[in-house]
Amino acid sequence: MIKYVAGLLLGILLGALAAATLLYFNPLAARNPLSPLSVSNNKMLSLSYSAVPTDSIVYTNNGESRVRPHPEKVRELWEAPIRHSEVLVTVIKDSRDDPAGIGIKFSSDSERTRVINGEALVDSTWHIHLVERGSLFVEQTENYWNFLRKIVLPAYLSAANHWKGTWNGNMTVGPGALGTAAVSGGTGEFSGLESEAVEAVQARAYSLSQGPVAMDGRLTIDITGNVELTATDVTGR
Amino acid sequence: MRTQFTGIARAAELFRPATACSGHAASAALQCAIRHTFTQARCAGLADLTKLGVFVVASDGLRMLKTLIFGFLLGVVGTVAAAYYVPVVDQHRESSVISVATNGGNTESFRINIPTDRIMVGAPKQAEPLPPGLRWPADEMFDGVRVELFKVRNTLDAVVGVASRMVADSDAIEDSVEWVLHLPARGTFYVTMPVQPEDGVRRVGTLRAGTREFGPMQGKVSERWVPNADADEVDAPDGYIELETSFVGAFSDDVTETALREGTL
Repeated sequence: MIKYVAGLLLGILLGALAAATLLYFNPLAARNPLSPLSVSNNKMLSLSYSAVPTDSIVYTNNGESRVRPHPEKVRELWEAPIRHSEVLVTVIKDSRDDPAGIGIKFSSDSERTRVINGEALVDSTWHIHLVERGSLFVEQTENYWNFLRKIVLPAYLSAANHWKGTWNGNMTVGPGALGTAAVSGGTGEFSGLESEAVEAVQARAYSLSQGPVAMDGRLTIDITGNVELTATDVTGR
Repeated sequence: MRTQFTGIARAAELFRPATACSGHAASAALQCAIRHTFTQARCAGLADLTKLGVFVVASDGLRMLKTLIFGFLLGVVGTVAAAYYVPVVDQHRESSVISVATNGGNTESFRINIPTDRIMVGAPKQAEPLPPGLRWPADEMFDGVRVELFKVRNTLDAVVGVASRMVADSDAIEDSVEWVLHLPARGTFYVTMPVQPEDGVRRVGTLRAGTREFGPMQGKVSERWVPNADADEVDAPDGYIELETSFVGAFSDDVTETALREGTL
């Protein structure tokens, strides 16, 4: 009798491993599609930032994550309703890599996350103020599945607990039907703007103990209507 | 006698039809002996002596194999079902404290205790930056920008979200106060309000955008500072910022058409 139970447990274990392997290598979930904005003829505003917490003005989370809050003594988001959230306050740069404004990114793990679909979703919003120009609000759903597969897991498997390389990925998968973020203008020249955006990251180094070591984010915002581009904005084709 | 089987012979017995070596006919024993390179007598003897044993071994192995396959399928189905149905993220929810407004819509009040709920004050040339160690960008262009981060509470004093408040003082654009309230279990909303209070006490702003629960809403948000009246209370906050929302669902043609079709209007 015991050997049958052992056999059953062994079978369950093998089955679970096989299913997990299938989910991990699911080719349908490994897509990293081209951003629809990259084939648009509209004018684009390109903003970048460093996604490394220690480069930020303030980064905070629940304090239990491997990515430590910055500065060290910042208040942590430990209360139950906000413990799956993080906040990043950083300098936003224009396409010439000059400071252009301040951006605040709120991110929370999404309850719509479904591993079976290759989704590790995060609901995030950007509150961006571009000095002398105005403010924007960007709402998006991001999918970190490919980031976890291509960067975090290899870092786990590495003997040095470190990943190094070059990985480019579009993080935005919604709420727009084409996988774009929703942009709402607030003040200044962006007042009344309703548009779309895409956020992409370029990762070059990741450490299990510190999180991102060398990683940049880029927001590409489709500017339609009455917003005039300056010399430091990137224009579309 | 079963111990006389070699490992190969055992395996052969398991995967061969039982009749191959268990027949009583001499021809069967002969075939068996040829196949196993045993003597005919030995093969016949084995067949006789282990007839039942071979059956038991084969049946036992088959049952084990079936158990293993059943377990494997159970593991696959269980993992897939768990991946589909078990929520990976379960945001904690506090009960919303919402009142119905007189002329439609609803109102909700949030508060931020100062200084306990303040996470960050980003402004130039601060003697004691919050948090300690904060380095505000040195570039002069940021001199007119002030950014604050807070934890947000409901009226029952439970933390329900985080908020940013941004004040921009600029010659190029109209000065404004902007709020973004991020409530992880519900959504986020973005409000802009003029710097000057409407009645000297309360700033009233407009809801510019919202996500999830706040997506279809429109309305107003007011901000006011309420100083702490109880001066004797030990470790009491200096006061709190009160944010009062007054939202109503945006008019939707789709909803109206559906309601007309269903006769509910």
